[in-house]
Amino acid sequence: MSNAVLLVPDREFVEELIASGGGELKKCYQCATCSVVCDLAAESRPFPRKEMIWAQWGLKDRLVADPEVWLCHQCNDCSESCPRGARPGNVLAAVRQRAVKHYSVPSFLGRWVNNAKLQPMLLVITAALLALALAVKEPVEQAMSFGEPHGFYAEFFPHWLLIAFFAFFTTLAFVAAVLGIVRFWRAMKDADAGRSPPTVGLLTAIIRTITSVFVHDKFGKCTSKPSRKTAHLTAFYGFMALYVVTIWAVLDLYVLPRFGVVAMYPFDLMHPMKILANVGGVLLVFGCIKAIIDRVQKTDSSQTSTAFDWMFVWLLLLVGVTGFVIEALRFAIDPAAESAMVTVAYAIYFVHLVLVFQLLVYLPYSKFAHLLYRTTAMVYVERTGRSRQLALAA
Amino acid sequence: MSGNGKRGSVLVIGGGISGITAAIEASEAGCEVVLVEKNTYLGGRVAQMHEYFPKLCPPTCGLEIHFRRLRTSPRVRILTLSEVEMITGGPGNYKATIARKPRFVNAKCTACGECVEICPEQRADEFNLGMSETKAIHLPFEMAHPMRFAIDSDACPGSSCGKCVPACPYDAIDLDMQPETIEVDVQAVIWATGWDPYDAEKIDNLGFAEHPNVITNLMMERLASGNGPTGGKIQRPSDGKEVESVAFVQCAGSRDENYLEHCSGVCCLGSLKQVRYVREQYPDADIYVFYIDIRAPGRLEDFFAATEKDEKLTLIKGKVAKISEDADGCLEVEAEDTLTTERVSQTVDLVVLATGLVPVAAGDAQVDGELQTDEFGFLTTEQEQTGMLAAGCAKRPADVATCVRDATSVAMKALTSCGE
Amino acid sequence: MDKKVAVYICRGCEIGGSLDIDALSEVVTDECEIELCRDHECLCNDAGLELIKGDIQEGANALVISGCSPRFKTDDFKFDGCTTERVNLREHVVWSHEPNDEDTQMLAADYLRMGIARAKLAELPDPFDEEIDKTILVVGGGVTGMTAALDAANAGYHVVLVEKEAELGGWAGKFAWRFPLSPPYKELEPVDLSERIAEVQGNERITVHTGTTIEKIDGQPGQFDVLVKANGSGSQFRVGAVVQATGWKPYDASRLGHLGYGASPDVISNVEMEELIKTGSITRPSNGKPARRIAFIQCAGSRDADHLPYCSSVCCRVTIKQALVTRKFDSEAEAYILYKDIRTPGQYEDFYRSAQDDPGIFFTKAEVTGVEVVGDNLQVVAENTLLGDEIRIEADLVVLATGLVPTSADGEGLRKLADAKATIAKGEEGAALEAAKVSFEEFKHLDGTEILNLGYRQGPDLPVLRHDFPDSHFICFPYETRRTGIYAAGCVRGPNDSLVSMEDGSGAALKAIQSVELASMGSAVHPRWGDMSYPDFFMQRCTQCKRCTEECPFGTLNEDEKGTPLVNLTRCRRCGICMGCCPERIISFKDYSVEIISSMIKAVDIPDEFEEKPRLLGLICENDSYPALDLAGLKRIQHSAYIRFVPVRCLGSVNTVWVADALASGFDGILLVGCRSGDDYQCHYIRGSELMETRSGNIQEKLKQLALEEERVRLEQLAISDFDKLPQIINQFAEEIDEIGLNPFKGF
Repeated sequence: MSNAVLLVPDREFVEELIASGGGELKKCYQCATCSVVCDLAAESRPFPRKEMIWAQWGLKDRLVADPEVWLCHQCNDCSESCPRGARPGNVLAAVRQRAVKHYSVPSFLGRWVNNAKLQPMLLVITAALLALALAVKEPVEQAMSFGEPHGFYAEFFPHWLLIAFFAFFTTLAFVAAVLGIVRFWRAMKDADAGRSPPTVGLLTAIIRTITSVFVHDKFGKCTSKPSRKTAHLTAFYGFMALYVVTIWAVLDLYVLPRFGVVAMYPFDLMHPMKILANVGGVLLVFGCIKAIIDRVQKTDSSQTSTAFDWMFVWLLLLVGVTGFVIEALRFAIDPAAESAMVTVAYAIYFVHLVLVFQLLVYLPYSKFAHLLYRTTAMVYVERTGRSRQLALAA
Repeated sequence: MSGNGKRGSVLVIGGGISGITAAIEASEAGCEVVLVEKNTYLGGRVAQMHEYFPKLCPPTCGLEIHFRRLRTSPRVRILTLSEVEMITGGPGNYKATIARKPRFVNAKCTACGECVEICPEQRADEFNLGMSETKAIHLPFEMAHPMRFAIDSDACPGSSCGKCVPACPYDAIDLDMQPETIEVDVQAVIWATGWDPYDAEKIDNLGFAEHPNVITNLMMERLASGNGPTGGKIQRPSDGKEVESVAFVQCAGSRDENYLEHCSGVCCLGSLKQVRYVREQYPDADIYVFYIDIRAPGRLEDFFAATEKDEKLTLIKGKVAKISEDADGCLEVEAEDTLTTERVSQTVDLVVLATGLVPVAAGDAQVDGELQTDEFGFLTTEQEQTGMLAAGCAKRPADVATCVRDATSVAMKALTSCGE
Repeated sequence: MDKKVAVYICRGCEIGGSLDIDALSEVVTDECEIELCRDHECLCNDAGLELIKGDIQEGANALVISGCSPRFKTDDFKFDGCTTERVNLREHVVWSHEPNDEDTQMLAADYLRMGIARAKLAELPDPFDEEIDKTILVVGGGVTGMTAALDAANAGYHVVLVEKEAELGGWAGKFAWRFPLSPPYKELEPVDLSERIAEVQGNERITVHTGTTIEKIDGQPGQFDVLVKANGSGSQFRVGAVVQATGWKPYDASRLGHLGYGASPDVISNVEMEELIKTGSITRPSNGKPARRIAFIQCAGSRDADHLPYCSSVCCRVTIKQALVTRKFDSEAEAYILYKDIRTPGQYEDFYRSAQDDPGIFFTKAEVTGVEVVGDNLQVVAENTLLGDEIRIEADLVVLATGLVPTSADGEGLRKLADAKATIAKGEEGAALEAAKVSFEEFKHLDGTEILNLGYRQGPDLPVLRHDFPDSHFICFPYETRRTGIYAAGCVRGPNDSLVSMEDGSGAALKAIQSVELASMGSAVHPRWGDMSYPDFFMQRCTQCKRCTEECPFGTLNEDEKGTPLVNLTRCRRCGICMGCCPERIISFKDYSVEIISSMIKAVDIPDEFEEKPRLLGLICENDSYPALDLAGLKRIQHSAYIRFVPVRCLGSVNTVWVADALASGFDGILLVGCRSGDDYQCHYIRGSELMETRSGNIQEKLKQLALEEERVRLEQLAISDFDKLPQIINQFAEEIDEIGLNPFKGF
């Protein structure tokens, strides 16, 4: 008897999950159809049947520490064939959102970012921070020289400031993310209680995971909605491309010159980096639009999209769109002549920066966090060898 | 006070076990009864069963007694091949319009079978769910009541062939028999229209019709029956191979909002009974039952407990969600054992789908003042018009014992609505 | 009325082509000396029937119709005022034997001889005429009893309703809420029986006795004299039939210590939970504080070999109801339901759904291993849950879903107890006394459990089956008990919800009505509906051996102090088991008697030993085995032509003297074929084939004494669906007898 664990059913948590997209979770009667139709579920301890009853009993601690909920790519095969209409796919999504919230440091940001009502406030704060940065621009430049501004927008928001500003906040975000991940990892270990010990080294696990992420093979397994793979894959690569370009720009401006390479920034249209950037931007925008269309078309079927989902996809889209707009303006406007247009361009550029900030700095708290948590969970199961059973299952 | 044996008259729609019981019980309490059956014979679904649970006794045993009572009862008028088209009027005086299809064989038939040899036309035997064939002129089954041959008009070319007519020594065959319309006036109507098996082809993930060795529970009854297509031998439809392993898939369609929302009530015991069939023929066969909840109410639990003792029977709490077929016709069924949280994929020779009961209710009959049904299509116990009564599976999914009890109670209600 | 035997031989259905009809006719006319013998190409057609009717006009009144089975064209060959003996030349002779073969011809001739022998002796039954009271007595005033009473009353019968409690309504009346009995099967229904009770009390045909118990029920269907007692004073009245709707009692929770009952006042039974619900709020018995966390343990004592092996059927729905009610009372409350299987059959799946949707109701399959008191909390410990591990759940209140126990009384047990007491009182000694003491110990727990107090030799209440449910052939004929005119209904017959119980009440009412109506016509009830014959006892020769009073499955016979049987005809089902067991052969029916069957046996022409033609006698149950032989014929399955079958009403009606007669007259073997006996008996008279088993034991003894091989008599049990096996059984038996050799008494 002693090894019986004390269960504390948590009705509030159940209601929370119901509120955040898992509305039908109570309908489940544990037939386990879901665990069988899911091609991502393993032979041993498959999901999402067990997660469903945990959710019904409000067993928060088990759910947030459960790597399987992150293995789900929400193809909703399970929801389609659920005899009770309990929509496990949506329940797991809700659980993931709660997990992100649960691990977020500082926790208040977790609450704010996931609260649709607070979005305007967050935007204002970001805007304020950027405005503050602009405010300090003059005095600092008087104090020290950073050389000539490179290009059109640098006149308005010089790169030194841009980099300093974003470097500062993204570092904070990074630290927060790492803390969250670490807590998540620990939680998974504790919950597992040695049931599945590591079978491969961490590095191997990471490499395997990364490769699998880059080819999106897990998505490939989801039979019911192949379109989601395209959308996700394109957006994913679009984002990656832009990320690379950004890094390159920084190198180009501040690192390469030290080795005597002349900074080529701002790149002209034919510059390989520019091409990569534009291709990336297109992919990103395309991916987002496709995702939005898919979601709209699917509203009647098994998948329901929460504010959590919508906010993220729209943010991503707007970042891409504003990016193109400012790029276009940059080539279109003659700074000398049309001063009015310049202001407009700067204004849009400012908006773009705000959005980028939302995207990057709030990453550990927004849906974007799945990038971190899913990867971590995948590494975890890869390491404990569950993924090999997973391969069998498929 | 009543008791002179003279009562009102009752229409019983459906000649299955519920209808037969209602008819006999009402008649033995003094009512005049018209019993309408759409098939060529009485007995309905139970006639197709091999054995009843929990006694594992043949339905024909009870049917024989019922038929004997019908043979000696002056008060029951039986109309086979007949369906009620319309019911007009109201409580106390209903008028039913009944359409009777021609049987093409009249009362002179002695069931001698002289006609069969000569008949050139084959037909799928629906009594065996199409798993065997008979001639166009056929005896529905050897216990048929009325014990008389019938001609399947879909298979028979009619007088253009006519070979059977001279072959019959008793001139019992009349190929010019016409459909007729019969009207009856009654005080009460008992709807004992029973059920149809759920169409397993609709269940997309269980591979019925796709994989020949995936059969339904009703097909299993025919396979196990001595008067079935295999003479009672349980074997694989694809190659007639003996079965070494069988999987029973419970809730095949039932309790599933994509198919049948209600629980069909009898499938659990049905499958446990069929486990016994398999065991009787194959002492070493491995048998698996995949279930969500085993529903064995009342003393039927005894039957479950006794069956459960079988050492080569494995009960797995988990619904089968995938069935795939291999080269030699074996089937792999997949489920999660929810108590061990392990995925199970079991390869077996034969899969039996425990398909559920779909209520027939009023069918196509036009009824003045309508009949009330519940959200699953079963007729409700309380009907707005007194004297409109539902019995047996027309009202709820139920086993034979419950149907018989219910039919008796409904006969009582009919009696009261007949007045004194 | 003098008999005029007329014999008809049908030539149709291959009979004419397979047998020498003229030779058969000679057997009839010359050997059996029946002047009137006709053959016809098809007796069942109009010409054929006219032929027969013509002779009836001329005075023929004992008809022997040789052709198809009596199961066939039955009503065509029914002629008022005539006894009709159907000789089965079709299914049993030409369809199952070589055509135009010596042995087949001999078989047909013998069947004719047997038919004629019977026709000579069989009389038309003249139904008894008894004064029949058609009042229906309903015992138990719950929903079942009230429904039975109202239905019978509305059908025009007077009803007496007896309830031991002060109020009508039974259990249902004690509950505030019930699960839905009509669509939609989602919401709770408040219980209000006042209307129904008023309807019962207001009905001028129903006499209600509350606070009343039954002291005695003497007599028989149509003539039951009932003595009831209400607060000391008794009253007497006559009824025709009885419906026992005494309902259920909750399983004794105090036996459920392993589930914490008794360990804390906060562990209660579901019935105690109903009482809490009546108060309008769910509080902890221990301290009166609101109970917010309520654990429901399903199958508490049910589906448990140590307690109630059966499933109580309603507990799942009752628990779901109680969970919903507690949530209705207090939105903060939580209900944890720990089940073995959720059993919400049919449309009740919706009720389960509606409870699942409530975020405050938690379900899991679980095997509860214990309930522990931790501080002032309770902890339920369970394994094999769907939640993964062995778990404990903390609760303020634990509700045990205890099951339903029938309020039946073991009639046969009570009778044994009474006998034991009598023997001891009589001051018997030795073995008798010892036996009495043993059975006293075995049954003393039944003392005072009587309900109906029937004046039946075989016990004061209905016999019970497994788990103390009153016996019933519970598939095809669920209302058939071993006590004609007495029908159990509702939860006494098995765990039911109130809707099914009410339906059951209606059904039982109908059976009660039938029994009085049929009694008033002098007819038997099921399964020999319409049979007007009845057993006639030639008492002068009775030796008071009491076998008939013991063996009648229906308790038809009582005994006077000397042990002479006292016959109650309306209790009788006409199975003839008494006739079978009577060593003095003093019991007979007008159309079925020891003499009649003996004469048929003796009518068979036994070839002498040199002809090398064994003769076998088949005594075969007319309900299942005889039809099985018909079906074998229909399928043209051949069997040995050496056997001669005599249909009997029930194997239990076989009198061993027939076996003796058969052996004496030179039969080489006797095959007895009847229905399955035992727990899952198929015998339509419950114990007929079982009794035959014991008797055939004695027969084997007799054979030994006569230095005959035991194998000469064989008992087979057969289901009607085994028609394909019957011919094999016959042929094997024929072969065995062939090996054993002919009956040495042949020709003596």
